[in-house]
Amino acid sequence: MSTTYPGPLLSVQDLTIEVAGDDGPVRLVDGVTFEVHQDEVFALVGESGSGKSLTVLAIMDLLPPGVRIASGRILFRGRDLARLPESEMRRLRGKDLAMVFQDPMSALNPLQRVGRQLAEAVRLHASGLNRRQTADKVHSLLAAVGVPDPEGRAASYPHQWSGGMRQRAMIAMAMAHDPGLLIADEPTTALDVTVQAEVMDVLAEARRRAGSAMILITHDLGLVAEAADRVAVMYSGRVVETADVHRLFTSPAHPYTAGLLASILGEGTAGGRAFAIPGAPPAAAERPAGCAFQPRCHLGSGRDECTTARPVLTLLPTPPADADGPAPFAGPAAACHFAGESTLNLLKGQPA
Amino acid sequence: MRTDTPAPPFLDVLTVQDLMVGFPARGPLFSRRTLKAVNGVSLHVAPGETLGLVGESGCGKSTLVRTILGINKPTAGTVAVGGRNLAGLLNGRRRQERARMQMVFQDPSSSLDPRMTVHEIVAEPLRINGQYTAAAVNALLEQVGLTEAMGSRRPSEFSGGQRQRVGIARALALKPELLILDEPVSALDVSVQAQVINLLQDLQAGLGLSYLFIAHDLSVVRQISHRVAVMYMGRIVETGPVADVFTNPQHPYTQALLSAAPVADPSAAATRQRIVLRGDLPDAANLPSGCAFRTRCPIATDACAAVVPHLLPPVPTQADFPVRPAHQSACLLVHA
Ligand SMILES: Nc1ncnc2c1ncn2[C@@H]1O[C@H](COP(=O)(O)OP(=O)(O)OP(=O)(O)O)[C@@H](O)[C@H]1O
Ligand SMILES: Nc1ncnc2c1ncn2[C@@H]1O[C@H](COP(=O)(O)OP(=O)(O)OP(=O)(O)O)[C@@H](O)[C@H]1O
Ligand code: SF4
Ligand code: SF4
Ligand SMILES: [Mg+2]
Ligand SMILES: [Mg+2]
Repeated sequence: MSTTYPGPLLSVQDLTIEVAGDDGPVRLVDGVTFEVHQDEVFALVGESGSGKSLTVLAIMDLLPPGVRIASGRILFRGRDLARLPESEMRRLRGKDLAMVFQDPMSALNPLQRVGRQLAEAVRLHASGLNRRQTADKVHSLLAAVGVPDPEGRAASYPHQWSGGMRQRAMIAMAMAHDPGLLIADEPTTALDVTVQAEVMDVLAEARRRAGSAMILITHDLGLVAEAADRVAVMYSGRVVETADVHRLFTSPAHPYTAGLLASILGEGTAGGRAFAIPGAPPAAAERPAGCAFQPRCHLGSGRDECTTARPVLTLLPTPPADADGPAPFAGPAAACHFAGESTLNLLKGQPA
Repeated sequence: MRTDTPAPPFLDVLTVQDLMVGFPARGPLFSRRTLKAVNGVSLHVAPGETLGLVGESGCGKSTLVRTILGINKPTAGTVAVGGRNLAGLLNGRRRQERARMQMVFQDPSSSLDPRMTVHEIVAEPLRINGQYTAAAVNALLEQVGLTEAMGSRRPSEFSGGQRQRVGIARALALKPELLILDEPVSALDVSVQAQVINLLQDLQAGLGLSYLFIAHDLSVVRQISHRVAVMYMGRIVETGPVADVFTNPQHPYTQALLSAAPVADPSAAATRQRIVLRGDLPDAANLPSGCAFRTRCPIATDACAAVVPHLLPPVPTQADFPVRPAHQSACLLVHA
């Protein structure tokens, strides 16, 4: 199904997304750049409201009304999705590009049997199938994601399915045509961790079978640590750091990433005080001129560069050991004027 | 782990006894049956205490909360506030007692009216009760770490964490004794989660508030709770002080739950031992006989189909002495 394309599967370049504001357009996503490669799991994490969902909705061409791509390119197998006519986009969506949303209930029609909705998704891109063949395909898709009694289940309504089962149905629907890229926006937030673990296993297995790459959006850094190959961290509409998952967790280069990791709750913090980055992010319309993180940054306080010049995503030096390994897709990078400085002293002066 | 457990002699803020909530459901061939969303739940929350409630999605947590707040009617059992059974009260009085409990929702953006200013949102419950003053609203905003000036803005101008602060300020307006929080931080990034949890702990220390705190994220529950209750298919299957339940889980479901919680360490991920639950989730409208967990339980025996296990304290053994009676679980094998 997937034709091999020599470059990255997906390359988002300088993507800017705007909405009309009282004083002109507001940049909700401001120059985002990242790549996703064949077979990998790429996690998009970061601040609530930093533009993660809008970024992936732009890829799917599903931005909410009034919100538009102002500039940038979204190259999928080398073709710019931002400039594709809607008819071609429709052909890609649900086929080579698929998405699993956080709330499966909002994506399923409550008045229609689950099997019928899946059949529609199947037939959308395989109109040659007859009724029987479509039903068979639906049942095998459901069986593949571990739904017991697929025939019986397909004949029931969404409210008769548990949250975890509904999420499986969504995965089955998304995987119907072996997409090259699967986007999952908070796919397991509504589920308990035993079901979350099952759903993540089902996702990994379905991806492996179809050879799909995945963009995973989540606030659960534990899930990122377990599932992701590479990670991009977003803050206030921008990517502030990107690295492979090991490097990101062990030596974060951007002070925001370090703060985020320090905020993870664990056995040690329980009952006491949790670390939290002080303050709140700027509103998109009021982003300061220099670094958007500056008002909250211990490294950048009182430093002119940080208040005047916007830091751009810059490659970080990689230790020699990495240089011998498999060629990194695009080395680790951070958008911070002082990314080289240790971020560990971040914890100093914080209440224990 | 929280060790500042409140002194016991106070009357509980909330006492739920043997609560049952059923919904009509369709059975095979036009037959009718009842979906027991809450199937005999008892719990209590003391003044100044946080009870964490975790469990499967669809196990009945939100139904339990809605019944406590009077939105759903129980089929059996009682809800008492401050020791007073709500069912026995006249409507006006019952409303008054219920105002001692307030709710904070998961999604701060959908629970706040986008057309109102933050000041008006917080003022609303005060106005309804004829207690509005601008100063009272400003004091509430300040209490949750917002400023008076922010009151003139609309929710859309706030970050997710700030919106959740607005939701908390509004819930505090009528000076409740108990806040019921249903997934209050799951939509927030971990740093903002930490801010909100710290705020909740400060408010608890300052105002002596009690919390019934529902979440799927076990690290969040561990952080804020004194005690925890684990629910499965409408029943509480384990409950106890948070340290006991997290370090010494008794029920196989709790054990699976704790083992499945992801660890934020990429190098540990590969070696971690996870108890994988196989088997089907039972149909809530057609629960299996005996223990409802038996279709997924890795250690189920034939006896589990015959007997419904009840919450019991652990059997005393030489190894874990003294017995901790507050730590109870509902599993036949634990008590065999
Ligand atoms: N339809 C819209 N009109 C105006 N602003 C919007 C719209 N949709 C989103 N925004 C704003 O754009 C920003 C980015 O939103 P987005 O949903 O992408 O964030 P996110 O990173 O996915 O956050 P979360 O982690 O909370 O899901 C937010 O500040 C949000 O308020
Ligand atoms: N109004 C209703 N009519 C029929 N069934 C219902 C109704 N409300 C809830 N249920 C069912 O009751 C059970 C418990 O649902 P509830 O929403 O209380 O679960 P929950 O533990 O809050 O789940 P989650 O973690 O997903 O929020 C589910 O099987 C649900 O489908
Ligand atoms: S650029 Fe300056 S303010 Fe921004 S993160 Fe780096 S040190 Fe902090
Ligand atoms: S009673 Fe039986 S089925 Fe239920 S949890 Fe215990 S061992 Fe498992
Ligand atoms: Mg989002
Ligand atoms: Mg719920």
